[in-house]
Amino acid sequence: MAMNRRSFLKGSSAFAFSASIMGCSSSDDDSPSEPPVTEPPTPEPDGIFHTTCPRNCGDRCSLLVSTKDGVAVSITGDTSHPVTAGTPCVKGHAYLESIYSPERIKQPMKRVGPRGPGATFEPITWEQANSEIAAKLNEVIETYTGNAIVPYFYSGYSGISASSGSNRFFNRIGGRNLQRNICASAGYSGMSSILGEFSGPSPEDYVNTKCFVSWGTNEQATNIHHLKFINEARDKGAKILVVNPARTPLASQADIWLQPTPGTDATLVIGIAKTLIEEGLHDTGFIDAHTQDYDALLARLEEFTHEQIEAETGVTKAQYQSFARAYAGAECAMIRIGYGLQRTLNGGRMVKAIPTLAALTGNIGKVGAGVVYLNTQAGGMFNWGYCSGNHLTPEDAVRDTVNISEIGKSLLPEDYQHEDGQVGPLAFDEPCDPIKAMIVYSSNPIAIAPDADLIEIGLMRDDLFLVGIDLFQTDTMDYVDYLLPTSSYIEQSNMIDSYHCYYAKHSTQAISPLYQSKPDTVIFQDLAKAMGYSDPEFSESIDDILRGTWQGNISYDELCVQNWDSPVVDYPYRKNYDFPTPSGKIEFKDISGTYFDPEKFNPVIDTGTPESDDFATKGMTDDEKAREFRLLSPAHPKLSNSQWANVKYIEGTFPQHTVYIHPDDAMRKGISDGDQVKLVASRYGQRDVTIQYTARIEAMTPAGTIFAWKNAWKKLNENGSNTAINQLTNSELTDMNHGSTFHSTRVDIALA
Amino acid sequence: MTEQKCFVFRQENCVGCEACTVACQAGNDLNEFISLRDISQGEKINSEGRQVSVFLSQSCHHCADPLCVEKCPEGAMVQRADGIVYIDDSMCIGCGACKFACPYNAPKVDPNRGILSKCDMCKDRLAIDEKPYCVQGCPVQVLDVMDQSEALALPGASLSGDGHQDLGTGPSTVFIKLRN
Repeated sequence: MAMNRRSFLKGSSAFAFSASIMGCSSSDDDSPSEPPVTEPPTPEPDGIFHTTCPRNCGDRCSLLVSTKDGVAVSITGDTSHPVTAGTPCVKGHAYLESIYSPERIKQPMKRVGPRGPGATFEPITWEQANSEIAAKLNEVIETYTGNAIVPYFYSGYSGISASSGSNRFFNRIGGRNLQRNICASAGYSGMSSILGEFSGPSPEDYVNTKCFVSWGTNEQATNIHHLKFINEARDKGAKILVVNPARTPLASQADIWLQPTPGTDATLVIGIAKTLIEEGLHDTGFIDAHTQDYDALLARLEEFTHEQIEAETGVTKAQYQSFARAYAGAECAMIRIGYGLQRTLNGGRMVKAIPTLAALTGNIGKVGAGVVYLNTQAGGMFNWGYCSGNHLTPEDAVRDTVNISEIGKSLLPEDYQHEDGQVGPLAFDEPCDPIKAMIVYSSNPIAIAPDADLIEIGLMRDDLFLVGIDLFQTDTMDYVDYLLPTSSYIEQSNMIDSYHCYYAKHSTQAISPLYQSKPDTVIFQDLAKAMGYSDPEFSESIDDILRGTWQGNISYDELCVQNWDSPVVDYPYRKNYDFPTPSGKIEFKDISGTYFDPEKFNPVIDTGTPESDDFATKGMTDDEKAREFRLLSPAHPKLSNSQWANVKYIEGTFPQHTVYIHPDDAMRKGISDGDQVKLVASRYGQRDVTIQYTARIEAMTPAGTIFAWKNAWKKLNENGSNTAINQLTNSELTDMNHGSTFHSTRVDIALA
Repeated sequence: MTEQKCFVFRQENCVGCEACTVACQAGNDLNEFISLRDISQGEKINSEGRQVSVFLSQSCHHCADPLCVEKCPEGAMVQRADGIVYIDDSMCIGCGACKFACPYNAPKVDPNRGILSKCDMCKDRLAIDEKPYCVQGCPVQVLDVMDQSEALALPGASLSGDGHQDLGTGPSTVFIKLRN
């Protein structure tokens, strides 16, 4: 690492906040302005700008960027924001180190050697890059149609300005659709199956609860700002209950921690629900008035004995009875369901089971109660169709869809022989037309997507034209034909919604784009023009895109001054018990077929696990099941997916390429702390995939389950093996809504 | 006599995310391989008999009887009237006597400058009514600074915590523990 990373920074430590906070420029002129797209506006050189962190986190920190002579000298929390308050998370403290990293990609580049690790590039001009990329993409469209070109993007940079240009671009060329269900989608269906929706109460309401349940999430890494609400509730007498196979910090601090065997949460719900009924802790008035198919639920609970539940979950009857009593005994109880829980083959079914407990106890529709999963209320303040230019799609365009988690299968060579006799690329287990070009932006699939080696087979195809847009030379960027420098979040304005608390936020450009970088929207606008598209949508300034997309309660100009706005939400959430299910009630039983096949899965609570189910009903393959350990790979607080891994004060400061092994397992396997170990998984096509990690002997999970941090970079593995965790992880899709199944991975482990 | 200043740490709420350590490093523009505040993780048996992990966030404890001040041969380690112990960079010769004297491993060799570096409670920020970087930078709000007499009057206040006790130098840090 270079020693002068902060050479741009001057006097950051004692900058006093004397200037007023600057909003974005306002405009009273409704006529189309001259397109300043290739020359983004230059902010005032000295000031304090309100910005909003656009990375993959629902907290959406309000951050003040102070500049001096056009250089950002500090990024600090906006103390006036009620949720993120005066500070970012640990990652945000290293924001300047990321933005001014000497490792930033500084100009467009073209690959001059072989693809893959160690690839070499030479600088080219934007004119050359646009001209050559446009010619190649037009050739692909001419030969195969736009359906042969796919975007690969997720959340590296979220929000309106981050996605407008690219969405308009791919709509205009009729590109292949990318189903971006890698995060929380199985849970959307699971929640909706019983409650009719997945949105719920605001986490700001945690302060009012008398019982907070953290189910399958780790507050240390995800939504850390909510911990102060949880602790405030606790100081006012709330009990804290945690359900998690991993020993999170809150699991240690909790009043009760249940540690189920991974995948058995639905069975655990049955145990808790049985207790509620057996001990008369349920709310019969609420059940009679606001739920449907209670009898079916009772019958389902009867099918299980406590002995069976204990054996399957690894949680004792006494433990889950204590949980049931604490939960039902509270005046109001709030459950937060995490996303890690549902990134597994039975994820939808597990999430569907959990709100049963809220329904049985009437913990919904009142202050301090409910089920929090992912909130879309603030997102309603944006006109997404305007942002994305949905009208630009040619009427005759045929646009297929591929899935973000199984992109490896969809990128396979046309002569790839599958075990079942199929040949060539697949999408959703069916043959799909070949992808001839891919543009990767706001993502790093080799690090963040499962079965990375399968993806690599595709990225190595000579007949796949690859363009990458990034801040850094990530693992994925080593494969691209052209590498384009994007601008960081403070180098462009943006609007973005929190997906937990109810805020839609503005983010003001604080500095000019560094080096030759451009915002993604500008990159795609310029590329569209180079390809011959003259639509005015490709000449709209970012400020005008934001203005046109905003549909909140206040004007866009007011938003720029106020920095955020909240939608009007009838609160407490669902206080009128008007559940958006077909019956208008909470539905314990779902035979609609909307979210899952009720012939395949029990329509009340299905308790199948990846290990117990057959492959045809969303179980693991036999090869997977034969591996000795279940692998969990959740988020670390110092990374947002693969971002920040290479940043000063983050890189090298935590056990990124380390596997945590339970002491009992370690003793049995003869593995000691610090040993180099090989982890082997069976991935698609019966491939044995091996990575090399450092062993850490710690009871992070129950014996039989091992643990590592997700989305590590291969090239940053300190042992030089160029291996990382997502080479091992499962790319099959969930039981509901085509989600990711990272945690449905089993591995063998041995000394290296 | 000016009041002794101290860090206040609500250890029972700390989740060990290291926001405090990185806020300190970035705010003070430190060499990336040293930190003036560290998080350590320990194990204990809680009041219900369950083994749990605990996190200790600590920097210099700004001791009442600082051995580092006593052992510095150059007089570079200074204890202010308000108890803040800091290094006068112009006088430090980098001998490391303070580092070996400190029972809490607070002074660190700064490879950029060849001298020692240590938490000074962000005294320059305190002077303009700003909290230290670590305090301001904790998203869980488990850290604070205040006069020690004020801190010790808070409910649940004590001079010891999990993994921390007085090792003979009168560390000023006050721990807050409101739960069993």
